[in-house]
Amino acid sequence: MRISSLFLNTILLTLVGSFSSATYAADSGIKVTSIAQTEVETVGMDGKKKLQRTPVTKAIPGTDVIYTNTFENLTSKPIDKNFVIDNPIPNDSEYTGGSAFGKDCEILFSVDGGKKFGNAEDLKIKNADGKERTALAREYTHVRWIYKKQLAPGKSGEVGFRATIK
Amino acid sequence: MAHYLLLCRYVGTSKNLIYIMPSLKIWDHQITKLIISGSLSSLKFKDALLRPLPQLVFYSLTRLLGVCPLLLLIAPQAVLALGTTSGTTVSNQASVTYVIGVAPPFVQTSNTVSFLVDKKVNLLVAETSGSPTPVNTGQTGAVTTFQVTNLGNDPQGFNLAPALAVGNPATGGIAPFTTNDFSAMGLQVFVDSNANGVYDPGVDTATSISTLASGSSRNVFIVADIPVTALNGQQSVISLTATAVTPTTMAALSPTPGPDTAGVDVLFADTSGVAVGDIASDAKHSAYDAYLVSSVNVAVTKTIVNVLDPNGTAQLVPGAVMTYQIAVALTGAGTATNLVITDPMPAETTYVPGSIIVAGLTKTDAADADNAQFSANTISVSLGNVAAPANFVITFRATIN
Repeated sequence: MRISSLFLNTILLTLVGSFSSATYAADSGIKVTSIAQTEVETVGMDGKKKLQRTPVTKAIPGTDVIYTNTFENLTSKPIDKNFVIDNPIPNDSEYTGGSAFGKDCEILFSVDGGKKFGNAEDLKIKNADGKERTALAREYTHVRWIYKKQLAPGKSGEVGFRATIK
Repeated sequence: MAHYLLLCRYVGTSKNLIYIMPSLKIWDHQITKLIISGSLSSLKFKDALLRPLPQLVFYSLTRLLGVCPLLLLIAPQAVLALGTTSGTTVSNQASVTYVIGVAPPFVQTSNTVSFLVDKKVNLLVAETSGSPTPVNTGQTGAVTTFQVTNLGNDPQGFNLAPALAVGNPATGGIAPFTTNDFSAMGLQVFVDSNANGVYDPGVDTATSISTLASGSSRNVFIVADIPVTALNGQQSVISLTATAVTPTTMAALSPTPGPDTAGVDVLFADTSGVAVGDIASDAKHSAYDAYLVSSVNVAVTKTIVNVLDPNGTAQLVPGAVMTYQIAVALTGAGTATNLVITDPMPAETTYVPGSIIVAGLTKTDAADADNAQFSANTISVSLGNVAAPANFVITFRATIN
């Protein structure tokens, strides 16, 4: 019985693709959805220019891509504060300095593949001559958000960053 | 003299040595491109990856860098232009680690969001010397040099088209290329196949670039004849237009129409060039150069302007000191390069040490930083590159034996 219900679920998931991660995450607790967008300048009816986010277009070297991760507590219990969201910088991309965002979050970075995380100003890179220098934004390998509040059931939040296609 | 491209990581500089390490990833932004001319023995390498690179543009060291005799460091960022190859999948995935009550932490990953890198078509045509090519009236096979750079993220072929500028290219031309007085004839275009920066007839025979790697440059020559009717000081402005095409097959490229697709789109990202009709985003770029008829006449006149004999009079007797004047006059148009005036002492005279004066300034006799010297019983004054019209006066003294 249980097996057949799972089987049915699988069929449903296949049919309703976008719903799949939500259903799956409901079993586990927090659902995280990642999207990639680019900004296009549009002129509205009032003649004013505004930036509109669209699915990635003109994905050529130099294009700035906005990655947004939406997280939602699908359990019936609050998630303890200080939970951590990690995002490796996408391949063939460079983190755009100062672009990480996230309400109620402490934002840390890594320059060693996610072994150590720290504030931007504390991250050091050793030059070949042995001298240490502050790491450049484009040298970051990971972004980490530490959510400083409890996340009540049903509540969601958004974190993200920009990275340029190399 | 061989030319090499060294793909390496710049490690540091100490005294006269530059330390470098080979690198595997040429798109790594820490890579420094070193173009080496001359002996490699005075450099210390640790497993350096050295290979002859025929497609590399060789910059004249003397033109660009007068300080370091062996190395030319091109800005490290230059290699960044390469970019990620089209069709590469860029993916992102986040994860969350959390605790509910006292339970061990859970880890949940997000979906993977990905897209394909599109094809960016971009190129740059540049005139290399910054000044017109000096030619003589009636000269055949006069060469001007351009550089074509692939600024896209994929290898690209390039079709090349030489043309005469129409009228006076008042806009777009760099200052020396704005007046068009005559028309050069029989324009031909050739690729610098052996990347030595010099047009080699019979060797540089290709008329298009079949493949040029992303971020790489190639020299292109326009070879033309100068009509006998062209007068001194007159100029003929020419242009080179390069068009990015499919490598090897040289099939035309076209941008993907309509909205962005899920596949690899083709985008034209070039800026407008100087040639008529060369607009932005047309996979073309162009630049001007010019032929300038330059005949420089150098007239040298030597006279004795003063004589002082031992008796205080002006008799040409043994012991009398003569002041010689050499007047150098350049007329016509153009530049006399590396102009050197030499004057051997007559056997019956003795040079008065320290008496050379060039344009009012006293010079030393030693072969040193000043531009005059006396050696092997000969006065020699180096005037360097002198643009006509110009005049110089050199004086020195000699005693009659």
